[in-house]
Amino acid sequence: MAENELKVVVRGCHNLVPYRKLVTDRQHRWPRGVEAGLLPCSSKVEAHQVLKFFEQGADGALILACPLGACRLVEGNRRAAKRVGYAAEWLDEIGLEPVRVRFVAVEPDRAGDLTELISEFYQEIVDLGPTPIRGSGPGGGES
Amino acid sequence: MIVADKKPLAEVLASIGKAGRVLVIGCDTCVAECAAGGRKEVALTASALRIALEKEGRRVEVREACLDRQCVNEFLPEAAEDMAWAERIVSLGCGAGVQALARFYPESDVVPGLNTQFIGTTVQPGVWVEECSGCGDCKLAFFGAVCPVTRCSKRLLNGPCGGSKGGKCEVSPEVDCAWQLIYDRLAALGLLARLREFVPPADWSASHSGRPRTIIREDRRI
Repeated sequence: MAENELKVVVRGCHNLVPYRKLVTDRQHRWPRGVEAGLLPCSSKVEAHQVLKFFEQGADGALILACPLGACRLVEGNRRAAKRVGYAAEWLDEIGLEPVRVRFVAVEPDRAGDLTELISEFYQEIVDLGPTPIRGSGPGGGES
Repeated sequence: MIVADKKPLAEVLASIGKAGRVLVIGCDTCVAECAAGGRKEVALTASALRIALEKEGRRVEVREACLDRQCVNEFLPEAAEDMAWAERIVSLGCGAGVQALARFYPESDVVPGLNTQFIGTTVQPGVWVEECSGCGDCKLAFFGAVCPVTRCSKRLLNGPCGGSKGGKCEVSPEVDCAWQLIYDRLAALGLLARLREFVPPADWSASHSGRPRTIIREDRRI
């Protein structure tokens, strides 16, 4: 599979202002295959949703959160970190590289170069290559 | 509640065998509370199976369903269509749920997706602890509602033993001494005199000993 067919899902807290600006900026050009979206809080991501990304053909998933200690919901980003870790354990059990899913609490010193942070993750997924899952199989069910 | 945890995915995959239509069915009562077999865990297990099976190059359809209670017949007809469709059913109910489902649908091949562990409580989010052994002869009235049968490593009804140190059990520093808990609770309630009462030996014939236990209430029978 060519690099330009890779699919990377990015989700981030809408209170992470630099990320929200990127997502809502219609002029911003994401790397090909990156699908970005906003969450009301990073902790809204649960393990079954992360696995759904991969089931539907994602090759990597990046969850972005506010800096640790700066969550408006106090514990949201800490919970998100644990949930993403749990999803990584499932990926490992399935036989996919657990590094394909990552949680990053974006500290203020990295907030200015979010594009670079996302590109770095994207490049790591390029280096890993695609998963054998293209989301084209039968089934689906409720999410 | 009944507390369970997930089986290794490899074991579930092995029990699916060569089936081409698989139903993952959860239970929204006890095993949902302990985050092992509710709707979210059904979604998680079904996704994991779909990914793992596609990774093996197999085309298997995996459906999802969840019943309010798998261990009560009244709730089971809701799954009739999915049960008839599936070649193999992975139940995320407790052991009782798996058996009730299989008995209700005798044509269906039902396999467990969980390991049922114990009767316990949620002591904090994400932490479940065994609190009841279902011994059939409850003595909690004597012991300030702390069960020595379950929570004392030696099941002593006349503890503490010499292995209680600093409120912890000699078995592990992680384990509270049940008899310390009993003493502290009765002391706080001003009921220490209760420990002077003679506690008759437990009637172990009421426990799980050689046959499945049955309770019959004629007033509830139809």
